[in-house]
Amino acid sequence: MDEWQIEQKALVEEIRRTCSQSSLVKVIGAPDINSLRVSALMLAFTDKERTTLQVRKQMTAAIIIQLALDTHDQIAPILTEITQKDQLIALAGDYFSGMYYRTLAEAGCIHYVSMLAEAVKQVNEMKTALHQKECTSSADVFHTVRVIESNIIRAVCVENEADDNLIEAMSLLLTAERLRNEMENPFIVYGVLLHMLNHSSHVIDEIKSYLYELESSILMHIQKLDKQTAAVVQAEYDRIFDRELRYAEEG
Amino acid sequence: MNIKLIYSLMKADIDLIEKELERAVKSHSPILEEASVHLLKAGGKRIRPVLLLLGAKFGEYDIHRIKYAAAALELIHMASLVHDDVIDDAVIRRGEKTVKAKWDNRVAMYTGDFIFAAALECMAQIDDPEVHQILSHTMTELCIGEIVQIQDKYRYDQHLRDYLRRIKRKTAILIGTSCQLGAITAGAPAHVHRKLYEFGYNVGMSFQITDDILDFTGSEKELGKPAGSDLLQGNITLPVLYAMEQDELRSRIVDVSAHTDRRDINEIIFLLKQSDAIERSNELSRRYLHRALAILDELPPGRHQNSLREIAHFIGRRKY
Repeated sequence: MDEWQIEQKALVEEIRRTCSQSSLVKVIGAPDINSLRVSALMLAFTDKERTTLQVRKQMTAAIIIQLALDTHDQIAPILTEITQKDQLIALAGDYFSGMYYRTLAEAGCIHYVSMLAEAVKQVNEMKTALHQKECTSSADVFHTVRVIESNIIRAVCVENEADDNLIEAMSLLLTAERLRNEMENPFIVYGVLLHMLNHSSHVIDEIKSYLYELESSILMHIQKLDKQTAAVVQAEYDRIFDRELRYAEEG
Repeated sequence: MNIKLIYSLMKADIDLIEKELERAVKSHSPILEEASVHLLKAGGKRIRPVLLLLGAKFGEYDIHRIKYAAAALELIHMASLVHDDVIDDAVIRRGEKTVKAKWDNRVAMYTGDFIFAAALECMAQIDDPEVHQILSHTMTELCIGEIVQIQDKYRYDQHLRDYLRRIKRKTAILIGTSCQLGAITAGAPAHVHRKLYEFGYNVGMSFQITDDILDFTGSEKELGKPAGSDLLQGNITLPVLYAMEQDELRSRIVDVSAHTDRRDINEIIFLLKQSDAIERSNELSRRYLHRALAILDELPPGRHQNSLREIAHFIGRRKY
């Protein structure tokens, strides 16, 4: 395991510790921290910045608020009977929202509260538009997914004046990761596309075609990054697009 | 001074807060805005903002600063209500369809998250770290209170202290915080804002106990839901804890589940009202109220002190 992975693992653990609540963990399990988002945040700061308490709290809060929003997606639109697990999922999201605020409040990062809240509002606007099937084309759906998946990370990166190519590459990677997950385990995006395109094979074709576009855009942005950053982003790219597997298959 | 007079004296400031609330929930999403405005228009007594304004009168009162904290508190309360309706599977609130009933669960979750973010945007206008530390702590405690409440459902072996700890987190801390934040935001000294927290905390405890009593003594029309709904949902409230001290009632109550017949619930309510459970619950509610009033007497005297006293009495006297 290289230094980057060790640092990433430590941060994931720190975030998990911050937002774990014993009663919730017993019923709904430990929070699932997305390592790609953690990488994206780490790259938005320098090695030195990442050792400061304030930056660690800022990264932690950004991951926790995303976790809150993702958790609430798990509540089905219509339920014949709400179970205790559903109720705790709803409350887990609220608890994470509270913890994001508390993390920043304790670190005295009030400007971050406001900046992330603005991003959260936009994410919820997009989630509502997607859920209500307001998108008029698959391109519109993919753009909406991109905002949903990357708006919070983007807000942190922009605030910290990170490299535009890094922001774009990570935003596209997060979109790609969500779409690949939807192909394997159909969820909200798949459902909306199915409603629009009427046939599951058309949905898969549409997603594959968009992923193909994303691959070339991501590679273009990676080429413009400094060597160290490019190596981390390339590794994430390889993981998401199963590059290692494809390299092996292609011999 | 009665409660209507207090509200009329503060009308101009409450109107400013209403404007702030409307501004805060403006959205590019027509549904999110409609759902949020739907909640705003459903009314409510705006008790938390009013307590915050009165708390601020103990310092240098500047409505253009404290309106952000007042609006944020009301928005946080609204966000929790819209999520609570999903958790409780509630179709009607304050005589209006809930967001989850009008749209669906997911829209309700997104609306709550949107309103919560709007609340924090509003709150972030105030740059005092202590204010944020207190409010954020309150919010996580509020959530833990709700989590514990769900886990304690239909658990009949609980004690008075479990109930008191639960209502402290669920209700009392936010009311205490409302009074305290007003005072801190207005720069009141620490001993004053801490006393205001204690006052609000005790009022909140009294308020929640009264609420739990009304679930048995109120009519369906007054409550907006059938009497005994808490019991049917497995919430072990103070009247139930007292009633269970009687063997006959205890054996009836421990059989209650989500599928219990309405006739059986009505019989339990009848028996519970015949017992001393309501009177004993009222007595504890009054004790919290008296404690709140005693704390108030330790604060600097003035018209706002009388207003807080009147609000405390109003909460103690309320019938629904």
